[in-house]
Amino acid sequence: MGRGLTAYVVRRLGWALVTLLGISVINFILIFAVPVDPARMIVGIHAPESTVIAVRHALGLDRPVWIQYVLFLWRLLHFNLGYSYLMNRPVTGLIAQAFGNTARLAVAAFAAEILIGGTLGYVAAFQRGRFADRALSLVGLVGMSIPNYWLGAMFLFLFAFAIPIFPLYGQGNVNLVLPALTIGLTGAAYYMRVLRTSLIEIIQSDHVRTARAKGLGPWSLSVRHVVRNALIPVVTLAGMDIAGMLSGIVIIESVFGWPGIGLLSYQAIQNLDIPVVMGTVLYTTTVIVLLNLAVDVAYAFLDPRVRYG
Amino acid sequence: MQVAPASPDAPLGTAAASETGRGGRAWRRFLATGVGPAGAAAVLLTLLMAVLAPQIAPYNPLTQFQNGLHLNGVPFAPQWHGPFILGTDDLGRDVLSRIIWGARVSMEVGIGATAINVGLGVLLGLFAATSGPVVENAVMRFTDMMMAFPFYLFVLLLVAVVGHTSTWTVILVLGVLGWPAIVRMVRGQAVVIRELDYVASARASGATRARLMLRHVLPNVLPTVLVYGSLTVSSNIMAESGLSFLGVGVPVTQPSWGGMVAEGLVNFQTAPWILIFPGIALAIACIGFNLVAEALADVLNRSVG
Repeated sequence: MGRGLTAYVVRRLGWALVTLLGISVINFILIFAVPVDPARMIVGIHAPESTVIAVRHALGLDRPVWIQYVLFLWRLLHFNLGYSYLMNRPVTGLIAQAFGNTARLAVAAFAAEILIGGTLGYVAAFQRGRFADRALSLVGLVGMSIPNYWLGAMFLFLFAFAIPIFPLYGQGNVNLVLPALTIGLTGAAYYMRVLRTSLIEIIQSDHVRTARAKGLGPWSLSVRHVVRNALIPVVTLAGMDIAGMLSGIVIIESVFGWPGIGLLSYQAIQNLDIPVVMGTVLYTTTVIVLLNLAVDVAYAFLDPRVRYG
Repeated sequence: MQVAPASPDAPLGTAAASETGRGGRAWRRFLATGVGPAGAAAVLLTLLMAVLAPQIAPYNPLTQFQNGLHLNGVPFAPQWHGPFILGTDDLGRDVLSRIIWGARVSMEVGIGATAINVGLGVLLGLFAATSGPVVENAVMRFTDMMMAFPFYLFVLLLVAVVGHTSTWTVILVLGVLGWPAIVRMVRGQAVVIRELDYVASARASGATRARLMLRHVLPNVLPTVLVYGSLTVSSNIMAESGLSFLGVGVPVTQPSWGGMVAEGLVNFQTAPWILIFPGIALAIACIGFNLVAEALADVLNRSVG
C-alpha cells in the first residue's frame, strides 16, 4: 500500500466532492422548477397577499437566485436543512429519525440477501453445469422477475393474516422479518449470480490449482490474489445495493408502513414539502456518492492496478 | 448490405448477413436453450393480451357491475363457471378483464420507455466512444452523476414537476431516466471494438465519425443491445407497475397491474385474489423478457449483466 493508495483515495475524494457540489446545483435547480410558491404554502390559501410577501421576505425568497444558492450552501455546511413546511420541524431531525428505521431495515435485508444469495451461489458454484446449478439459475431468474412489493404484500397476507405468525404493523424487531425477507429473496438472486461466478473463477484458476497441487495452505499468496480479484464484482454489487437500501426503498416501506427515508421522501414529494424533499435528495445522493467512493477505495485495495488509472 | 468481413478476431455477429445457414443455426440454437422458447411464449402471451384486449376481455374493465358484489359489499371470489372467472374487485369490476387490459399498459410503457432508453443510450454511447478522450470522459462523468441519483426518487420528483400523469408522461420519464445503464454498456463495447484492426484502419483512412459509428461500431454493438433491450423492457414493466402501485403511474382510468396490487393490498383480508393475480401476471411478463434475454445472450455468445 503506501503512497499509491493514499494518493488514489485523495483523488477519489476530490472527485466525490465535485460530484456532490454538482448534485447540490442540480437539486437547487430542480426545486426552482417546481411550480409552487413556498411562502404561499406555509401561510395557506386564505392568508392575504401582504402576509405572503412578508413570509417570502423572511425566508429570503425574494433575493436573487444565486444569493439564495450561496445561502443554501452555507446552511448546508452547518447541517441546517431548513424547516419542513408541513410538520414545522427541522428537516435534519426528520431525516435522522427516518434514517434510524431505514438503517435497521437495510442491515436486516442485506444480511438476508447475503445469507440466501451466498449459500445458493456457493451450492451453484460447486455444482456447476449440473442440474442443481441450472435449477438454481432458473430460481434466481424468477426471484429477479417477481415484483418485490407484491411479494411483500403476499407475505403480509400469508404470514400476518392467513397464518397469523407476524404482526401486521409496528416497528419492532419482529416486524423486520417480513420486509427483510422480501428484499432478501428478491435481491438474493443477484448475489447468487455474482458469487457463483466469483467462486468458479477462484476454483478454476491456475493459481489455486497449482497451490493446492503443491499442498500450500488456503491462504497462500496466489490464492489470496485470486480471491481479491474475484471479490471485485461482489463489492460492486454490494456497494450499489447498500446505497439503494440506505436511500430508502419507497415501495417496500410503503407496503409495510415502515417510517423510513423512503416513505418520508415520498410523502414530502406528494405534499410538495420542498425543504424535506431537498433534504432527502441531498442525503440520498450523498450516501450514493460516499458509497461509490468506498467501493472505489475497496477496488484499489483489492486490485493495485486500479490506483494508477 | 456489406458488413465488415469475418475474421478470426472479429467479434461474433460481424459475418455478412448473406452468409447462408447462419440465420437458421441461430434460430435452432435459440430453440435449443430450453428457456428461450418458454420466455418467448410468455412474451407472446402478454403481447397478445395487450393487442387483442378489446376482443378477448369478457367485460369492460372499468364497468362496476351491480351484481359484482355480494350484498354486504364483499367482492366475488373466482369461480370457473361463474360470470366472473377471476372474481371481482372491491368496486365490482371484473378482475380477468382488468388483467387483460393491464397488459396493454405494461407493454406500452415497457416497450415505449425501452425504445427511448435504447435510442438515447446507443446514440450517446457511440458518440462518446468515437469522440476524443475529453468528450468521452465528460460524457461518462455526466452518466455517473445521473446514475448517482436514486432512481425512484428522481422519477417521483420528475412526475411531481411535470404535473398530471398520463401514460405518455410515464413513458417519457422512464425513458429519459433509464439511459445511463445503456450508455455505459454501449460505450464499453464500442471502446473494445474501435481498437480492432479493421476499425482502426477505417479511421486511419479518414472515415468520418458518422461512418465509423454506423458502419463499423454499431453492427457489432447491436447483439448486446438486443440482450440489454430485453432486460430493460422487463425492468421498465416493473418500474411502471411500481409507480402505479404508489399511485403516481398511469392514470386511474387505465387498469394497471401495479395499481391492482395496490388495491389488493388494501383488501387482502376480504378478497385476496385481487392481490394474487396481477402479481402473477407481472411475474410472467418479466420472467418472459428476462428468459428471452438469457437465451439471446447464449445464442449471441454475449455475457449478461
